[in-house]
Amino acid sequence: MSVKGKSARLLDPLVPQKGKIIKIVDETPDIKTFYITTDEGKPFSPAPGQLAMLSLFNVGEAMFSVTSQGEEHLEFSIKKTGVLTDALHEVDEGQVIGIRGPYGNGFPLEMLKGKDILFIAGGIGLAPVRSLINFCVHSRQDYGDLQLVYGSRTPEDLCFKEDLFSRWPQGGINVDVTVDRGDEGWKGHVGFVPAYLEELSPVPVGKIVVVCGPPIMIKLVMQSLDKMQYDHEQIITTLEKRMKCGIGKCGRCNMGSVYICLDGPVFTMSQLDCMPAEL
Amino acid sequence: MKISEQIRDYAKKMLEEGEVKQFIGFEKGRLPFHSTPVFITEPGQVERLIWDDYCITNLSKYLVNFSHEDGKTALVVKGCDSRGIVRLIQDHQLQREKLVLIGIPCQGMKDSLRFFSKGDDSLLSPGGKCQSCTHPNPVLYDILIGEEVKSVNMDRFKKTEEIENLNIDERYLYWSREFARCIRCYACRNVCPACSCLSCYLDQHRVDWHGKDPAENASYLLTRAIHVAGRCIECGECARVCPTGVSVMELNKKLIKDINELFGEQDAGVDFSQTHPLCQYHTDDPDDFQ
Amino acid sequence: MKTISSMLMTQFIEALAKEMPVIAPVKNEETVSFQPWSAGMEIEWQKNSLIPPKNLFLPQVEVLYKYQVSGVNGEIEEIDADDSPRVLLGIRNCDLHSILLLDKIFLTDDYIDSAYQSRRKNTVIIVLQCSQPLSTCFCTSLGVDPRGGEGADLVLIELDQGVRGSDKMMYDPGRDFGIEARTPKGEEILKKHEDFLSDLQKKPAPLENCNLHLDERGVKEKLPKMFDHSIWADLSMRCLGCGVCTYLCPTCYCFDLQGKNVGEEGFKYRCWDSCMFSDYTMMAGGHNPRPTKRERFRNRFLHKLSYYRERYGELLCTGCGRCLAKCPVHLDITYVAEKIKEAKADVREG
Repeated sequence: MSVKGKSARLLDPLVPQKGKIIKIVDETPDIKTFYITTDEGKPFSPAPGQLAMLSLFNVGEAMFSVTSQGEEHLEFSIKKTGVLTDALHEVDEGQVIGIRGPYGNGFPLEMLKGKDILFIAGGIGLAPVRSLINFCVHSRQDYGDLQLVYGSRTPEDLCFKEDLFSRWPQGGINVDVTVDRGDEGWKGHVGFVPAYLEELSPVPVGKIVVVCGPPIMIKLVMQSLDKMQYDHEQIITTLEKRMKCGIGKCGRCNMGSVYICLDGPVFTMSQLDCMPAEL
Repeated sequence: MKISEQIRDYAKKMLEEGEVKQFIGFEKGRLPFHSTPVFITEPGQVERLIWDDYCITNLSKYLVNFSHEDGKTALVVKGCDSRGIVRLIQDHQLQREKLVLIGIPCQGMKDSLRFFSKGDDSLLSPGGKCQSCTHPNPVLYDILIGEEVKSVNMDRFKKTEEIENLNIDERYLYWSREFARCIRCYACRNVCPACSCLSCYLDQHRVDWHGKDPAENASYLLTRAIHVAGRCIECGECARVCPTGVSVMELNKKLIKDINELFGEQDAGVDFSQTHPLCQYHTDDPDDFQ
Repeated sequence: MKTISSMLMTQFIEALAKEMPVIAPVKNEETVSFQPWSAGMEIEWQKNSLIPPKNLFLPQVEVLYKYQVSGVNGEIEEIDADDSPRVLLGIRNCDLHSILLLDKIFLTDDYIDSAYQSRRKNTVIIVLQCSQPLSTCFCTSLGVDPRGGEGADLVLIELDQGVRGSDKMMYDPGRDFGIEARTPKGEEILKKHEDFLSDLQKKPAPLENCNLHLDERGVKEKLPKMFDHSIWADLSMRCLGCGVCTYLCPTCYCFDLQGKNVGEEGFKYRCWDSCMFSDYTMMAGGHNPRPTKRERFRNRFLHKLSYYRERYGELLCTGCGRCLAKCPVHLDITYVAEKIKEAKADVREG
């Protein structure tokens, strides 16, 4: 991390660094992964699950989870959903981009160490979870069994196909993939994530669950996990809200007195149970 | 019988018999000069309803919140409230058959919002909006409580003409000072029965769209004035609720005056048969601008 | 205590204004706000400003940085905060208290807002004590001492004239003031301008009590269980959803970041925003966690009465009474607190 970047963040947390998109990967018809760096190298070194503000100067700014990182760059997987993301999907490699962060707490690495981890994700919800999976793959010996249950609407909507079908299985992760609707070439499982999860029926003992996806999926997955007798203390999720400042001041992303950008975005379900439900 | 008691009797009867689902009127607020809108759904709550000199708020805009719900709503209407309702029905925002209107002729109401800036004296006479009221009696009602009052014949365009008579530099200075006070709280928009768009163009987040920068005050206030032109019912609520006293209503008055001069006398929200002057074309329309 | 006569007050302010800008409450029509003072401008001494002085530290609009865009290229140009010294004259203790509450937001250890910080550091604050509250004032309920001066460099004290005005107006411009320094910076100013001061001994005017109170006993205990209470739908029904309360509140600090393009250049600015507006929490894709007035209204009052206290230990209110005076439908914080106290504990939304 550059000294300049650090001091800029502490003094003027709302002013971005100047970054550059060095690579763009098409993941699905509406998801692209952007590799971002600065002239001084990696903008900062976020912990898995942390967030960053990206801006196209003349379009807008929004918060994204850092989906992965390399020695010199950060990766963001972004779905087309609004003004800024539409514009991001139109840019070319070499595009200058504003970046500030990292924000938020990230995943509780101490709590995860030595445990079996069950990752459950739907659609673009795999993006924040990916940062943690890659972290675990990198230090595989620090963890017990690792399992990912991932679903998308159709086979072509599956994100990170190389990770799913090659890199992560080779890295020692059991990957179970399902789609809502198959197509002619699809030989895998068809069905919704919660139903598939109940089919797989992973036992709760010694396990931490990390779940991320669309709100309806999380809701139904929670019902399944409750059925399978998982304790809310052992379930972790990461939340999304409209954010402007990233530092717990602008007032949008709070749930009660908790700011998602500052105190989150990662919470255990038992923490969320005690917070006002304003999702 | 006092008007308050008559209102309560009607409300109790309508709610008990299930004729209406809720009754919108006024109740007393925190301070003696606070009379505020109240929404009564239980017959046991009708004692909250009052009628006094401070029931100045135009209630008609609230009806938009309930237009998609089943059941009827009753509300008390002064002249200005009833004109708001006529206008909202004409804009297809409300259905007449879902409304029960208790009309109350209005002598002019006192305005508690002037208290902070003008002190106790402000509470002695009717608020500014009432002083140029042309329709103190409800134009649309099912039940009328009290005697109709005579409309005070005042020159409603007196200030409009004063501003017209300023030279261009003076006028620019006048409006610059007015616009400079706008804090963009959008109270004028939110209270206005002619501002009935469910989603306002201002509430869009886009670079290069309308921002929250006060440098864009003039374009906000002028755009809104043009948008309600021909539909403004002259209730004056925009100017009344403005915390900084921007003469928002003078923009509307100027447009009303111009429309009257160009297309003949119009009174928005009075007569269902009257069409919107800016939404139709006649071959003999004035075209001096060409 | 030194005194300063009304005759010499103007000269004192003129002398101060020669050294640095003096920001004081002045009128535009009936609206009093804090503006840079220049000779000939009449200062509003009698009652508090309608526009709170928070904009002096958190401006309604503040440019954060400029940018240029050209094809894939772009540049950011940071803006230096204006750190030139100035005097804030005539702020009341309620509003001064609000600045101390804002400090907790913008000057916490994790993230220091440098522009806010330099504005705070470079402002000499001269507080004007109150002795006669308006009927909308309830600062004493919030622990604000209308005669205090916490956070001020200098304190102006209304003096006992022996006769009280029947019009309930404070600070007849013809009156003299007592003046006291509270910081070395304040003492320095007094010393420098001692020619304007006299040793005339007068007593401070007697303090009248606020008639209005924010009674929040029991509210703290009740609120955590009231998130789904029917009171929020009931109370918010008459709310217009406008931003009068938030923009006139000296403690509402939530902001928006917006951009403006001018050709290939542009700037990003921070501006006041209101949690009462529908687009405030709207997410890309159209989901809104606070979709109606009920949720927005609830969030605003829980922020004031509960959330801020959970983080910073105090209520986010100073009792200035602006919401009482200017909410078009009188949904002020004392009313809301009263309704919360009256509410039955367990009425949940159906």
